[in-house]
Amino acid sequence: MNYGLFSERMKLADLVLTNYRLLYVMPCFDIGLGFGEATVKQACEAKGISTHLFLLVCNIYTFDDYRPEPETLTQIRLADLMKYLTNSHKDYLENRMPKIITQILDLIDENDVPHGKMIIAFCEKYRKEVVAHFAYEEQTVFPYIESLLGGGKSKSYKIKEYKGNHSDLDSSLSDLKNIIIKYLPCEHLADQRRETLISLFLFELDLSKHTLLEDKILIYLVEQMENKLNE
Amino acid sequence: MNRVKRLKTVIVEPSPIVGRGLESLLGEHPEFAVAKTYCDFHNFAENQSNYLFDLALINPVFVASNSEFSMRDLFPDDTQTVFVAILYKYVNPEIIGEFDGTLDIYNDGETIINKLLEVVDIRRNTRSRNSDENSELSDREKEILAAVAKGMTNKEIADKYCLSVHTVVSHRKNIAKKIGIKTVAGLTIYAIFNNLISQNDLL
Repeated sequence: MNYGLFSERMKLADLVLTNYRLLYVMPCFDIGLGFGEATVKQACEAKGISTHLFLLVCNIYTFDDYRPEPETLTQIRLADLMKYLTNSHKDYLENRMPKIITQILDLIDENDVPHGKMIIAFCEKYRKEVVAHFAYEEQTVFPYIESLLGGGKSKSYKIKEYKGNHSDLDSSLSDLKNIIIKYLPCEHLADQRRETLISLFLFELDLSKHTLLEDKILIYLVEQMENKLNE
Repeated sequence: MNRVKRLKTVIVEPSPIVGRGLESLLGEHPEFAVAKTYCDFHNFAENQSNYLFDLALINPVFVASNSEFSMRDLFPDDTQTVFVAILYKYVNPEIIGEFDGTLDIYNDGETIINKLLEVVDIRRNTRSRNSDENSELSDREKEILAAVAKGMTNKEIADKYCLSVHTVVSHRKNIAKKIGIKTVAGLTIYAIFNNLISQNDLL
């Protein structure tokens, strides 16, 4: 039984008031603010998006213990899920990560940081890691899923490969946090350093939920489909 | 994490039905051994062998109605017991705060088991971290960290210091635990900042 989860009859505003981190999720569904008293169902229908998927994502981002029932997952369309994941990749790559990295570069510029160049190189390496990670998903994994959706089989690729190789982006991010906290002295821009760190913490949390969606939901649904096609 | 023995568990729950239910759920699982189930908190409180339990599942209703003493007073300060609150209705967060974790009676069996194992692991990890507090890297760990930062592989490090690769790996795990940094690039920065290596070593 799932007490206390978000449901389609709740007001959209109450979801955000319960968990402000959904402010990062909603734009990926093309939902902005100013929706008044609309319920989740009304808002999703107005935007033509899947209420099931929207609720699933909001619940996963909000309730750490939440693991959806298989019945809930049968209502999720892979095409919708991939669209959401692609949109959030875009938000990470175009907005959130560049902003964090620019802020770190500013901090190093404005302060006399010993070995600042190494930290810059570390950031750059991390950025490349994230880009490569998302590119693999969008250029290899998602097209494979689309071909399955079109009824085609692929002999050369199976979702198992993705499952095995899904690299973790957390380690570098967690190191970056450690380095900033421990080794970035800042006489100047102390406020900005605080904001940068808070953005990093939020980014880390969201990435972990994003990874959970891929590991536990996307892979599960694709495996189901592979099994069905093989029958 | 491999557990060497079953978790010796005590259940303190006013409802005999719920108590028996939990007992039978945990009894089916190889990680748990339910040693005793109490329906009355006072019987439990008077029992002198409380400190022997690995895991105590307690309905916080008991704690709430016995506000004159803290649940923790029943146990030695250095107790190894992990406390989990059995929840089926709203309980004051202050009371929940006395526990290491909670379990929701409406969850299914698997979720409850996983939740319990998770709480036990987290609690044990914090304990071991606390006991390592302020612990500095040993000289051997510093040497290994410097070697990793210079880009040496585990095999190369093992050969250089006459260790097995397995030992090198466990040193690296301990280093990561002590300084909170895992990636090679991150370790390199740590090594430079702490003068374990110099910029020239990286060329």
